[in-house]
Amino acid sequence: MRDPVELIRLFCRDGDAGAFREFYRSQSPRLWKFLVARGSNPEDAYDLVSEAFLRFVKTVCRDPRAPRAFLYRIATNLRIDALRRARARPTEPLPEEIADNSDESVREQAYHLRELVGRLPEREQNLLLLRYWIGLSHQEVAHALDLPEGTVRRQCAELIAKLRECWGEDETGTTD
Amino acid sequence: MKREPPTEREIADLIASAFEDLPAPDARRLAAIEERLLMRPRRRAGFAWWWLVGALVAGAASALWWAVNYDSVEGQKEAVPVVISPTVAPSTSDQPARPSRSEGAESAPAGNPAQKQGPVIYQRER
Repeated sequence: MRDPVELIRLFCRDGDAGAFREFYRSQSPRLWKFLVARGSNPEDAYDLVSEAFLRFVKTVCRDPRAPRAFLYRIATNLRIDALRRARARPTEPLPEEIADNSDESVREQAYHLRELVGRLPEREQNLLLLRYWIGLSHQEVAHALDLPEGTVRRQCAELIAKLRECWGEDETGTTD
Repeated sequence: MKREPPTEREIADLIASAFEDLPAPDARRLAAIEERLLMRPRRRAGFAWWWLVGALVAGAASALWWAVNYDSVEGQKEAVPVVISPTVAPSTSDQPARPSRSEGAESAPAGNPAQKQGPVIYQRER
C-alpha cells in the first residue's frame, strides 16, 4: 500500500483518479469505524463518511501535506455539527457485536478499555483514538484537532497514565 | 480478584486492538460512496471539453463562411445606390413645400412666436 501523502499528491498533481481511489479504499473503512467508535449511529456514519470525503476532495489540494489529518479534522467537525443538530438524541452505544478473533482475556481487556475511554471528555477521546488507533503522528493529531503539537504530546502521555490509574478502580464489569 | 493494570505501552497497544475489533462497514455502501465521489470530477472535465470543441467548431464554421462569401458581400456593398436624403436634395418643383398644419404643429416648438406666425412670403404687401 502506498503512502497516503504520495497518493494525494498524485491526485492533486496529475488528477490521478486511481490514486484517489486507493486512498479512499485505505481510509474509508477506518474512518467509518472511528465515527462509530465516537458514538455515531452506523447509518449516520455512512453519511458522515460521504460528506467528509466530498469536502476533502474539494479542498485537499490547497494543502496536500497531511491528508489523513485533514480528513479526520473534517470528519470530527462534521460529527460535532451533527451532534449539535440532534442534541436531544443520545449518543449511540458501541456495538456489542465484536469480531471474535482473540481469546477471552484480551476481549475482556478490550471491552474494559473501551468503557474507560468512553468516560473521557470528547476531545480527549478524539486525541487518544487518532494517536493510538488511527496512527496519526503527534503533528497530524495537532493539525486534526487544532491544538499545539506540544499540548498533544503532553496530553497523550497524561491520558495513558490516567487510563492506567483508572484501570483497577472499576472491576465490576469484568470477570477473572 | 484485582486485575494487574497493564503498562502504559500495553494500554497504547490495546487501544489500537480494542477499536480495530469493531464491526466492519458494509463494503457495498462504501463502494457506492466511492463511485459518487469519482463521478464528480469526471463529469466536470467532460463538460469543459465539450465547450472547447463547440467553440472551435463555431469559429471554424464562421471563418469558412467568410472565406466563401467575402467577395459577394463586398460586391453588394459597391452596388448599393447612394440614397440622398430628401431633406438635403434640391426640390424638383420651384414651389416651396408647404408644411401641413399637423407637421407644423408637431415640429414647431411651443412658445416660439416667429414659428406661430408662419413664413414671411404669405404676408400681403401694404
